Amino acid sequence: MIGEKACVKFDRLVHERSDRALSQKEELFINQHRAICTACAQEEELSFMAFDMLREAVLEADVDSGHFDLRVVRLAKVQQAKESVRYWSPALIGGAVACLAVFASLKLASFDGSVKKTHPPVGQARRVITSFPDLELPNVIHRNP
Amino acid sequence: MIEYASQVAAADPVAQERQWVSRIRLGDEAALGCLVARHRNRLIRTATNLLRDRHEAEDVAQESFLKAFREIGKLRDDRAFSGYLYRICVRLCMDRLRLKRAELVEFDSAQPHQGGAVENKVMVEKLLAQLPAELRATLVLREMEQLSYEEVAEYMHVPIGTVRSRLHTARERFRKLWIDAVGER
Repeated sequence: MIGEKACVKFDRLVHERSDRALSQKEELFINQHRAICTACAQEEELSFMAFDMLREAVLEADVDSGHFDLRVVRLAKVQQAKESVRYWSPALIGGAVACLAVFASLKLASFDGSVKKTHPPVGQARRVITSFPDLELPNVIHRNP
Repeated sequence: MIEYASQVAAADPVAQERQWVSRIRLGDEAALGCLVARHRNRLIRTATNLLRDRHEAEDVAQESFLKAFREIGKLRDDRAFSGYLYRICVRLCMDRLRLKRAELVEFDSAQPHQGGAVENKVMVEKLLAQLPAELRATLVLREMEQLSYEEVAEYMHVPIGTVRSRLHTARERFRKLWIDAVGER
């Protein structure tokens, strides 16, 4: 009924009392131990006060229900729309076009051109006389002789 | 036949909820509103008690609804929606609690049990802030929200044995913190 083991048992039973109905034997043990052990009785009282205060400190929901409901429904609709294929299709088409453009420019950049260095053109280059005399080669002033 | 089904659903809240979930899957907005209206207050209350902040709780509740609606297609059992919703809410609250830094507890000269309700709430808030997120959530769900062990286990996604051990540790720590706080005065 008294001793360290009894105090541990008392503490365990006091804890368990809030979750299950104790047997008559257990209730009797608690009552007898409480009467003998002042320290345990005091602990039990403090414990009771602490959890009583915890339960009293419950905060109630204080919300503008209509506003909250509307907001959640609206956001859920936006979310649903974002997830739908229709929402993403313009972006997908845009992405595909961009990919094609990048592919085409890469292809063009790697293209050597019509005249290859290893195959110079055969024949002579001709000077074409234009109708603008100022642009003829002898009239062009060369700054660096 | 449809009328009969809706009458049965109206009498049984679980069946009604199941019907709403399947209607949401088909894109019914009204069902979405009904589901929000049913769970709104309890969800915000749970989040408020876990976070001790009404505005943050409202944000978390909103986020929980959106996340649950996003994943509604993946839900195998329509009856599991409410459990799923509260599980998301508790998880989000715990994530936020982990991010919060435990504040240093400073008490004024008033006795906690002699002080007013507001003082008690502030004191509880300060004591709870010193508990790790898991212990705090278990304690709040059991003691404040008065949930059963099974419900706490479901919402926290842990076995019942874990709930029991966490609750025991949480109660012990809370009691010690409270006794220390009272002793300091």
